[in-house]
Amino acid sequence: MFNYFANPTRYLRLASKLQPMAVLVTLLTTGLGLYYALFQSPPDYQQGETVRMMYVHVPAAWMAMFCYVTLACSSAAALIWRHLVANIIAKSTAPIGACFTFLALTTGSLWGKPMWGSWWVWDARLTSVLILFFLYLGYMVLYNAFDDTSRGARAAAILSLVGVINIPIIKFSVDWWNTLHQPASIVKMGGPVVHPSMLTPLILMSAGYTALYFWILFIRTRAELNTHKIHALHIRQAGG
Amino acid sequence: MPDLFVNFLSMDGYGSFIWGAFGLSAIVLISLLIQSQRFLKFSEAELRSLQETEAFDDET
Repeated sequence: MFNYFANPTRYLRLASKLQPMAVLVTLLTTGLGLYYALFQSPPDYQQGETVRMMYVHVPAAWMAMFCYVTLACSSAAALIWRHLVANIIAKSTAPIGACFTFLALTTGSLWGKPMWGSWWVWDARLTSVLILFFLYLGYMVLYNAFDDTSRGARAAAILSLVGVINIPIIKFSVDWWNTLHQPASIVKMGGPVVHPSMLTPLILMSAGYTALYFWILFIRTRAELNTHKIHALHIRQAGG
Repeated sequence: MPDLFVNFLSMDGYGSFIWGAFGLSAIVLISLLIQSQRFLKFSEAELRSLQETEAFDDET
């Protein structure tokens, strides 16, 4: 199946079919999620109203990691099988992942100030997410650093594979080190410990962010495939 | 009614942090969506123009 969709034409056909669904799911789940997050979910018994920031912070942090794993897997496929579509998915995922990571950091900072009394602390979770942000920036810079785009793509793919070690560090940082950041309360052994009234908007917002990722990914991959064709046409026209 | 709205906006005194987080998320994600859409439109226009030029060159 993977080889089947490595063909750009087949991929474009699939993307154009799935994009309207991604748009619909984004609008429905985000709209419903915002309604539950702002009007239906109760304030936390300790954190009060500030807990509402969880509904934009946690999905952004999950998507930051999800995008990086997607970037690394696509990069591996591009390196091993030299699939154009895999390379384009990796390239298109990088700016989306960087935006989600930026939002995880900034919304976390906005949450940290009233709860911890500080915009930033150099603890393991925050520092490892900051490193993730730099990995995204490094990937994008390296990709565009060479005149020969295939060399840039290869170098950036290798960087993304090296950087994947940071993902388990982010996930388990709250267990391995003493940290101000709260431990996992959703994805953990024994199931989530969050009350359904808070879990519902969190799941809806996470579904909305995931669908938004695919919506933007389909747009960007179509644009990148066009850019690839433009490059090929330029070369053909220059060759006469 | 206006009191209810003011209380909702104030979020127990944490309104600037909460609305800041929601607002920033909306701005960043909507900007990314618009930028991606513009990138697609621009690439489609450039590709169409190049294909038309090539078709014209082939005819002449």
